[in-house]
Amino acid sequence: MGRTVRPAGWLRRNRWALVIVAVLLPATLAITFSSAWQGYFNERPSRPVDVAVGETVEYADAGWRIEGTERFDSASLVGTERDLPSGTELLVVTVAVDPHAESEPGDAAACTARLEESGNAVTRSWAAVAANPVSLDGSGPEQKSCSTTATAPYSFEAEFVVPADAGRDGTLTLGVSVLAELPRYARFALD
Amino acid sequence: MTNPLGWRHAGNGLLLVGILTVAGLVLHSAPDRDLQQSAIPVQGVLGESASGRNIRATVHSVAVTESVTAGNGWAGNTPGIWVVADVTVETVVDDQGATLGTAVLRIGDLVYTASTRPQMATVAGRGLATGIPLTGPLMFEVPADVVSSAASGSSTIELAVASDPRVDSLLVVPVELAELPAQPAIEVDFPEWDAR
Repeated sequence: MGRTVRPAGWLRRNRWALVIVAVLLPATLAITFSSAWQGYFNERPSRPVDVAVGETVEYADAGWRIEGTERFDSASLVGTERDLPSGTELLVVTVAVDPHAESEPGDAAACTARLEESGNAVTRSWAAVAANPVSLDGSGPEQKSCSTTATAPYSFEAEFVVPADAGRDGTLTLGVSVLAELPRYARFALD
Repeated sequence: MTNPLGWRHAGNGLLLVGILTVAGLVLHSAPDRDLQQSAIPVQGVLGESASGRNIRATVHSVAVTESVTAGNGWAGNTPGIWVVADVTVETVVDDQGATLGTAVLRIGDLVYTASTRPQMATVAGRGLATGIPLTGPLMFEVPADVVSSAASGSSTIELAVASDPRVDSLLVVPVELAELPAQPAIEVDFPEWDAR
């Protein structure tokens, strides 16, 4: 009995076209949305450079290290002096900065410090006191953020008003970002 | 005898009609741009805390009054009437650009934005802090006949972070205005931070 020649199936006849569609369709979508996606993340601190407690990190042409973290509750002397709202704490992080010798005065860029609490269902964050709506009494530390003029090592104290439960269950980190370095930012573990 | 090719053509035709029908149904039932971008309502209850993505708020009480004196001494006189709400607001996730930008009283189809005339003595437009509640008043200046009209049976106070609440949480708290007697004058406290 002779074999009958059957025409190849539709799938088989069109297999290369189907493979090309399967490759090109996702590729087109990826290319279309990637620039908007990347643009969104590139203009904000989205790529952390993690720094362990006590370690120094090279970032934005300077060396950065956390010198210490202090917390004051609203009943403490500092808390009453600054008129801290009840149930909140003042968290002060001292950051040592070592601008590199080759940088000219005025080269250093302004930085933004944010406190972040992760490890819970939601990641919470706080702006430093100057950009926070809770206003405090007194002027606080002299140097509250990065110096844009310093060429010698210095330190600044970033202040945050946080609810008393901040960091109780989660982990607190300090994020320091400089506009020109985005999306990279230094993320310091706090002890 | 049946013709296999004829059946095949008929099948393809049916398939095409089916695809077109499904496409038509999808096209006509898909949400339009307004719906896609609309705020995500979170129903609240008077006196109870309600949470959205980056806003947690409680509307404690609502009063109707002919004149209100704010915590900074500002006295609101109006040819209409004041609806004063006592609210507590905080952000949940972050405080970047977070203000109580949307604080409106919706009476039927009419929408009244909370007055910013008391400046810092109202919670409307104030910056919000993560996990630190701000408690204070919202003052809505409303024509007197609107409050006493039947529509005020279906009134809501709507709160959101940012003045444009689209594609973000909008807390919607129903309030009963028609039953409230209009008080001649009330005094409200200056907004206060308190995380206890």
